Amino acid sequence: MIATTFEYVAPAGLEDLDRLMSQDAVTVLGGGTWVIPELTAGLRSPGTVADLRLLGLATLEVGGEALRVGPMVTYAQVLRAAEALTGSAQLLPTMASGITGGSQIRNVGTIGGSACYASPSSDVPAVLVALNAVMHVRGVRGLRDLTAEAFFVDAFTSALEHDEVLEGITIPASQRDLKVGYKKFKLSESSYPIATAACLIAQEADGTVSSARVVVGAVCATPQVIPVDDLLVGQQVASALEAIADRVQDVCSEPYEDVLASAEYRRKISGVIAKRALVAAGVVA
Amino acid sequence: MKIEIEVNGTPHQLDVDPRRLLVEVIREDLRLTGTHIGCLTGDCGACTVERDGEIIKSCLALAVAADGSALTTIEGFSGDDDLDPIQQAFWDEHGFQCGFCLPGMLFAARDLLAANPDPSDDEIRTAINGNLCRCTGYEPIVKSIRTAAEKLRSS
Repeated sequence: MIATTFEYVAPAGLEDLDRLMSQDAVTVLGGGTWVIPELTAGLRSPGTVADLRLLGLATLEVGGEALRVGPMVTYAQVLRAAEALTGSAQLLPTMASGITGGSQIRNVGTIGGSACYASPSSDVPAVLVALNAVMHVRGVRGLRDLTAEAFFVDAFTSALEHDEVLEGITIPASQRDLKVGYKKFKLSESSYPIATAACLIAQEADGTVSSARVVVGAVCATPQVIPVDDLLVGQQVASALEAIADRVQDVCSEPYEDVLASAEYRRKISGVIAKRALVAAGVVA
Repeated sequence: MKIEIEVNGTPHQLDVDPRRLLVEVIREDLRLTGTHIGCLTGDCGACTVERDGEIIKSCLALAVAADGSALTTIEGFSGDDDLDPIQQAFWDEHGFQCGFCLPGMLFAARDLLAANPDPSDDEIRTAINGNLCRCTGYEPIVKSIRTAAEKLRSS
C-alpha cells in the first residue's frame, strides 16, 4: 500500500479536471508507469491524484492533414496504427516498438505522459522535437500551444505550470516519402536509454539530400536539434556521416549525467548513435 | 472506495483504499496469490495479469482505477481444469524452476502467440523482455514458448 494519503478522483469531464488542477499538490495520473512506482516508493506525496482515464483523451486522429495525438494515446495504439502513419509520423511506431518493459508497458504507457515527465532518458522527447510537434496545453487560465522544443525545459521539467495539463499533441503533415530513422543505446534490455537519435531525411532520386532533421535525446537534459543542413543538403549522406558525428558531439557539449552513464561517455557515443539512426533510415548508400 | 471488477469471470464488489495497488487487492482481498510481487517498479513482470484483453503489470495500477474492468489472473489462464497448451509446453520443457516469474511468462507467451503464431527465437526473446527470471537463464523459457507455438499451430 502506498504510504501517503491522497484523494483519488477520476474526473468525468475536462471542466471537472480544470477545477481539480487549481487545488494544491495535484498529481496527474495517465498511464501510471512513472507515477505509481513513485507513489509506492514514497518519492511523491500528492494531496490529490487526478486520473485521466475517463476523459476520452486516448484518441489518435489519423488521415487528416496533421496527426492529432491525444495525451492518453498509448505506445500500443500507435503500433496498431502503424500502417496508416506516413511520412515523418512513421517515427512514432518506430520509437514505440522499442519502448522498454514489454507489451505490458506499451499497453498502458502514454506518449503524452512521457512528454510531461520530461525525463532525459525517455524516448519520446527527442522524437517529438524531431517531428516539430505542437504541444497543446490546457489550464484554468486558458489554452496555449508550444513547440516541442519549448516544452522540454530541463531534466524532469516540462513547460507545464503546476495547474496545467497536456491536452494533446499535433504532428504536422510531412511529405509522404520522407525516410525516418531511430536508434537508441541502453546498457541492458531492461535499462533506460543513455543516447537516442531520431532523423528525418528527404532525398532526390539519386540520393542527394533535399532536407534533413537530426535530433539527439538522452545525452543532454533536453533534446538537442543538430544543425546539419550545411553538411547534408545537396550531399550524399554517406560522405557526411563522420562530420555529423563530430557536429553532434559539439552540440552535446554539456551532457546529462546520472547513475547510468557519465557525461563524457554520453558525449562520446552521441555521434555514433546519430550515425546509426541515419543508417537505420536507409539513407546511407 | 467501492469498485466493481470481474476476475476470472466472477464479478466482485470491493471497498478498497485508493492507496492500494491492483496486485495487492488481487492477492490480499481476492486471495489469488498466483500473481506475484517481485519489484514494485514495473521491471520484473511477475505481477502480469490481463485487463480488458491486454496484459498489464498490476503493480503499476491502482485498484480503484480498475473499476469496471475484467481481469484474468493466472488462476483463470486455462479456461478449465486442464492445463492450457502453453502451460503444458512449459511443463513438458521444464520452462520454470522456482515458478515466481512463471505466471508473467505465460501471459507474455500467450500475448505473443495470439499476434504471431510462428515467432522466431528473436521474436520470442523480445516478447518476454518485460519479464525477468532469476533461475532458468531464459533458454528453457524460449524453448517452452517455441514448443507451445508448434503445438498451437498443429492443433
